[in-house]
Amino acid sequence: MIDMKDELLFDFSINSSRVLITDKLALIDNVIRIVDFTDSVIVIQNGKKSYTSIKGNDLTVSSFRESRIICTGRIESVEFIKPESKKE
Amino acid sequence: MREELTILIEGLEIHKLLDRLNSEGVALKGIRYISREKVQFICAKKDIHIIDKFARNKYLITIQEEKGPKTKLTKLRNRKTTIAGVILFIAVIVYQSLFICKIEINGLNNINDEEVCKVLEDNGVFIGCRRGNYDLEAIEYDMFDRVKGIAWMELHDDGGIVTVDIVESVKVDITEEKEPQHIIAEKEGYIEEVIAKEGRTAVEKGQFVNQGDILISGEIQNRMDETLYRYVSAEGQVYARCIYAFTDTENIVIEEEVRTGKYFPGVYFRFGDFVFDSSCFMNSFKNYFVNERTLIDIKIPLPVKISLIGINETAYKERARSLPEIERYAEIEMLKKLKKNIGDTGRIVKKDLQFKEEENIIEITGIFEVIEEIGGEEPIIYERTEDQDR
Repeated sequence: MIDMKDELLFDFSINSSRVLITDKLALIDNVIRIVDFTDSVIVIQNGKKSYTSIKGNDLTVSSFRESRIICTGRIESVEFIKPESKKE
Repeated sequence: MREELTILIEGLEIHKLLDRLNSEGVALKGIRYISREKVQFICAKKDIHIIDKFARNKYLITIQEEKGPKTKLTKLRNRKTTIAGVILFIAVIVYQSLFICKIEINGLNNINDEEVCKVLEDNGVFIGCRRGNYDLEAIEYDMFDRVKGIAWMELHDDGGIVTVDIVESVKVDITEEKEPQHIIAEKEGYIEEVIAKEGRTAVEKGQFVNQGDILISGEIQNRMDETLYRYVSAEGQVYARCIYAFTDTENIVIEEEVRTGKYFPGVYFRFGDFVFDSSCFMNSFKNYFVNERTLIDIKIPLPVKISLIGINETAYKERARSLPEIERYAEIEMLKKLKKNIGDTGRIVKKDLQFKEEENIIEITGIFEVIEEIGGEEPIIYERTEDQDR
């Protein structure tokens, strides 16, 4: 069980990826910029060295405002990328 | 709801433009990847200048679609027939629900429908009147009182249609045996013609008769026995030359209502029971008359009347009339009086008008000879004897 300190840090963290995901929708917070955007992959920078990649088919960004992106489409996978380690 | 634009961006590294727009607070939605060089998205119309500012000459911007209430209104404004159709539809619905749009009268054979309509109208039920402003039960009572020959009736007000169901009473002809009677003179005059259908002619052509004289007698003497009489109901027409004399005075100087030339325009508007008449509160004239030019006066689909009115001020001025004018006027007045006395059956055969001028008045004497029917029924009152009964 997560303790109170970790929970607060997680809630107010602005440099880490926070993703709410289903097979048809991905809600990503703390978006700094879109690194890559096609209909099969959307790569988003969340922190200084933190990236999130959504892979799937027919991907679209249904909303992009106030550091939050909502992606829709057929989502197949999500990856959290850090430059030090190629894959996490 | 806000005004939105669907925009197609063409260029390289479009995601950089999207990042920039997001950092500037431009809300984007429906971002759809088409190809590496083409992305489509939806944004607020007010943000287009920000997009334009950052896109500059690096990206090609195409506005594909506009959405929002203002855009819809603009589009709708161009579809005049649709607007007219919607207004007409609403008008019909309003009319159907608020006003009487039809009156159906069923079951009339002998009764005149105009008579029934008149009773309805007097009670506030007519095409275009507001629904519910009447008492159906009171109308039914009034209908029974004023329209003869109704055996049963029922009034319905169903969705703007007033239905009047009437069952007429059946007329039964009861031929009564007429009592013996004379035809007597109702007016005095010189007999012109006697047409006796039943009874004995008691007067001759040219004979002067007074009021009450027997013209056609219902008492017929037995030819065999002159002491016996048979009594019949005398019938027939008796025409006589009657003389009517009238005197009247006319002022030479009369007061006439003339226009002063002061005028102001106004508007009359009626919608159902609501009436707006600008002459009611704008009019400061003491004496005036109103002329009206009706622009619209319809009952279907809505009871609307619009008129332009002109309020003309008038004043009373004295004017001396010429003798021919007075003569014409006096003759008309005399004929009106005569008409009241003789009704529609009389025929004027001679008229003589004499005018006598005094100080400020003219005295008129009119003598008319009229041929008219003067016969009237008078029952015979007699005592039966045993011999007569036999």
